[in-house]
Amino acid sequence: MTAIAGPLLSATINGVTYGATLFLVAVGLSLIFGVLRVLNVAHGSFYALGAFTAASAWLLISALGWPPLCIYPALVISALVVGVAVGPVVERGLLRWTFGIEAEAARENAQLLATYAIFLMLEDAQKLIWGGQPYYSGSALRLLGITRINGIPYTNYQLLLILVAVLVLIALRILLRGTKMGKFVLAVAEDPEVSSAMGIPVARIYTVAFTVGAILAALGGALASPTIGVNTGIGSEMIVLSFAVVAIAGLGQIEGAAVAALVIGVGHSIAVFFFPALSSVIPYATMLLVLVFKPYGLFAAAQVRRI
Amino acid sequence: MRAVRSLLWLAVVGGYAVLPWLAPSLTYQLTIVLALGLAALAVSLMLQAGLISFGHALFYAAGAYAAAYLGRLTGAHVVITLLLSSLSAALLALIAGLLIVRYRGIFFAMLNLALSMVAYTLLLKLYNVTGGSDGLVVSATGVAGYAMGPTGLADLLFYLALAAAVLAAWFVRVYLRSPAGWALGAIQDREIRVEYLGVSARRVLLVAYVLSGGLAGLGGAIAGIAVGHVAPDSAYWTTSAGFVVMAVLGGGGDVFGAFAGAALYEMLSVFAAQYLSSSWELLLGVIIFVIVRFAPSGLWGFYDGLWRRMAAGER
Amino acid sequence: MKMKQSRWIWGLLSLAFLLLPGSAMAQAKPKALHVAIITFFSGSGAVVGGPSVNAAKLTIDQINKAGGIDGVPIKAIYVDESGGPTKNVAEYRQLATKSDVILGYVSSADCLAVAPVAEQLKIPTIFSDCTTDALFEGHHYKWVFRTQPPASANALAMALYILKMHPHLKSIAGLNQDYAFGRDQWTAFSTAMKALDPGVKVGSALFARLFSGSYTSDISRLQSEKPDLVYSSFWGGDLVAFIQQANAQDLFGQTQVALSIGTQGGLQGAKAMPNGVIVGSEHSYLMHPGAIHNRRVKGFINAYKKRFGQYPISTYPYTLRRALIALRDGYDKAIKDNGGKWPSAAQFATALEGLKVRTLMGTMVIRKDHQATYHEMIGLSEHVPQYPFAVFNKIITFPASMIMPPEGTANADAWLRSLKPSLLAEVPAPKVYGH
Repeated sequence: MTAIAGPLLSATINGVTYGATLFLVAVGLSLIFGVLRVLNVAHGSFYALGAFTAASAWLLISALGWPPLCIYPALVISALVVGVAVGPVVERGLLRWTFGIEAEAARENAQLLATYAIFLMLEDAQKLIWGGQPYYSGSALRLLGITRINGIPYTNYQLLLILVAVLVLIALRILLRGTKMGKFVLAVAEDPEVSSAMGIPVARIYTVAFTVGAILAALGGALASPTIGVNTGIGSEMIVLSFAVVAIAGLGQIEGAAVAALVIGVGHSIAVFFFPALSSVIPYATMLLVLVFKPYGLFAAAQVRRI
Repeated sequence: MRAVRSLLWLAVVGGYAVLPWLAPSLTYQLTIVLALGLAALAVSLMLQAGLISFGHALFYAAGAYAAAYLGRLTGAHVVITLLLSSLSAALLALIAGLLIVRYRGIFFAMLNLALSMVAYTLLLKLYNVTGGSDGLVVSATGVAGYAMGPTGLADLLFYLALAAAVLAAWFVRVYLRSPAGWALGAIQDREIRVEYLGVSARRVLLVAYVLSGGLAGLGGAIAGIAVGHVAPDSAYWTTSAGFVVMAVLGGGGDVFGAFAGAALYEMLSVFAAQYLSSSWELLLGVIIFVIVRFAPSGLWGFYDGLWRRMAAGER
Repeated sequence: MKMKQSRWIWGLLSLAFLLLPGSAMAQAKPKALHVAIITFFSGSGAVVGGPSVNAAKLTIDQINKAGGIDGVPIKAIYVDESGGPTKNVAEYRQLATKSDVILGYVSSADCLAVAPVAEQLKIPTIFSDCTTDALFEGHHYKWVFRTQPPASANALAMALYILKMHPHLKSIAGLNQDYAFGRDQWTAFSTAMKALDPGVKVGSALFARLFSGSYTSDISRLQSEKPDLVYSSFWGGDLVAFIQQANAQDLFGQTQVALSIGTQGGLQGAKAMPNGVIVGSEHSYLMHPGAIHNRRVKGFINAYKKRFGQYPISTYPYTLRRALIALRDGYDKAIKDNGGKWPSAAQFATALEGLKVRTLMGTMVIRKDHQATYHEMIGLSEHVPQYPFAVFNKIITFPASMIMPPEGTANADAWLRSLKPSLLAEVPAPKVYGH
């Protein structure tokens, strides 16, 4: 390996694993926007709730003396619990009223503010439930061992994250295109009024799509929890990052979100390797550039066909 | 009735002006309220056109950082520092505005967000220029060559901020009643008709955006000098969202709404920090939600409604 | 008429007298000495704040039980430091209205921001933890003191220890937090390394955002560079996260790692700390195997363990205690200097200058430039059966005179650059202790 190629490979592998988490969260946001046309500011909080719940699950497993490998199913279960507990409540209880607002600008503004209010409530809910202390549950990172690629060790857990992201992408495709429910979702995304006239239960589809979106964000958080310090504030950072992903991809895009997450992940990681000072500017600078030249994102036509 | 309302405003401003005499320890907080009010006014100006900016902290931070740099250059002359900081923010708004006024709705919100986050990460990363996450000390010690003690400076800054706020409020009011201001309000739902009248919607928006950036920058400069320090957090998206909240709390209806919103926001945060240390965001979230859901016209709407009812009773 | 006029004047004069700041009047002994203590309770810094506050409570109770300061008890309020320098300056202004002394601060960014305000408001302020050299460089503060030695002292001690143990070291690289402390620490350390061994190649210097908690990419980056030694000055939750992630990615197996505040690595969840990592103690470590059998140290550890159910591991319980002991001794001295009467804030500040403080582990001197001198201990991490966390051994204790930048140093880096490799010859041999 040459002096450049080695670090480049390493940067790419790291970037893809980072992009995998980002994809899980962002695709949930994109799904919610595609179906409900709500830009969900509270989405980052679902990520944080997933991470905190997973950290608690690890503490519980250690306290009960269960085998450490139980943590892996527990991560997924944490995400499901958070999504199913929070998603429908937020959508039905706190957002449904906004769908009745006629004027588009007023509706969008009300939704931005309402989801921001929900974000604030959930931020403090985290502090009230988990306290201000961060949680470090790095054991899940270590248990699966390492793989050396080109002499550099990577945790198998990180490589597993890539696999999970790919599986989620495939599953979403199959569910949306191959099942009746999926076709309903696509129809509602295309035109809720016509769908409703054709007898599709639009309200239920809204709840389902929102809940699946919330589960995906929580899954991102749960799977990221062993690799980060789980701390209040991680939600507010993740939401702007996933905004960047969906803005680059085009609102409502799913495969596009995967590509955009990869772009940001690998871009960020290459910057860490070659221009460290720029690493955290990459996602927002990319978002800015894309918005300037293609305001509807890389993968959406001006007339947005969602999903 | 109009005269009564005008007198009432005079009383409010006069009352605010004597508050530091009655409670000197509040001077700092009262100055911050005015600074936040200016930023909220900037956001509510864009709300007139139906545009929500989730990135106005960019201009607020620009004003504060400009004050930090100018404090070193101009020998810490407060008035000049405030003016130039505000101008720098307005200039930044002009450059950004050329791009941003092409967008509406969510795209406007997102583009503002993207810009402010680029600025935030740069402030964080360019350690040698911006002090990174440490931020910069903002020093200002006097006016017109006179060195002043710390309490003198705090008082001076308060009255400068009050004067700036009154002037800004008056100016924005006049502006909103000018043809350019009417056109701004019309863009929200009848943009094409505005264009049919031969008015360039983009130019109308650009003027408003530059004005808005200047106001936010003035607020940032005042806050920077009052605190004596500025850090990248001032450009983070939650700061922007805070301004939107103040504007909405106050209600976009009138210029004083923004200041009322800022005052309520700051009061809530001080109160909550004392008595509800870890649940003030929860409280704030509930309040915002209730206002958006049940009283979309905010404090101003409540107040205005009260007057309308009284006026109706008089007739 | 005349009568009336003089009454007026007297009235005004007495009013003016009442309004004059306290310093002009004889100081009455207060009911309590109000001390505001600032450290991290929430966020990533909370890992250090908990033990810090525990130790402060214990120390204040001990002082008050022994009669307080000349009969005046210390009354402390504890304030969360998280939220960044701007928030802390705003908070400081509030605290200044109700505190006699303000004490604490972990983050160097917060100290740099607070110091000018302390001067402005004339409140005696003792920084207990932050270490940035820039604090006193080019500044002559009247009200600001620091009981923790500066970053350059710890960095020099680390460099000396590393070169003593690894004389053939070829290359180093660093991962530090991207703010005043991390930047200072890396500059000081790499400068000291180059001065002491000009042959050492200084590789990449990575800076991660403070409290970001995720270092996977940075670790891979260091692994692809393969330096002989990786240096980090991480602290708090960031250090815990780094140790976990570095362990999972086998960084410790691949290269020698040196952690400037590594003794903190025993904290919360960092059982992942392997043996043989070079750890600095940042001037304070009570679980020192050579000191732990000392009667006073043992007494403190036992009292702490009894009250809080855990050991006072890491540097932080001890730094805040040292600042509080300096506060007590400073007041005692000021009272003596003031003929037994309660001193003003200015008299207290004057008394701190040149104060010698007897601490649990040796003497601390607060110099005329308001910077305290103290020794440093560096060793290798080691797991022993009696504790559920890593302690250290093979320790070299560096006397303050060897590592502290001299009084009035205008630029610590220039001072470090001027050091000669011959300094290494003065370094004592490491000591191995039985636990």
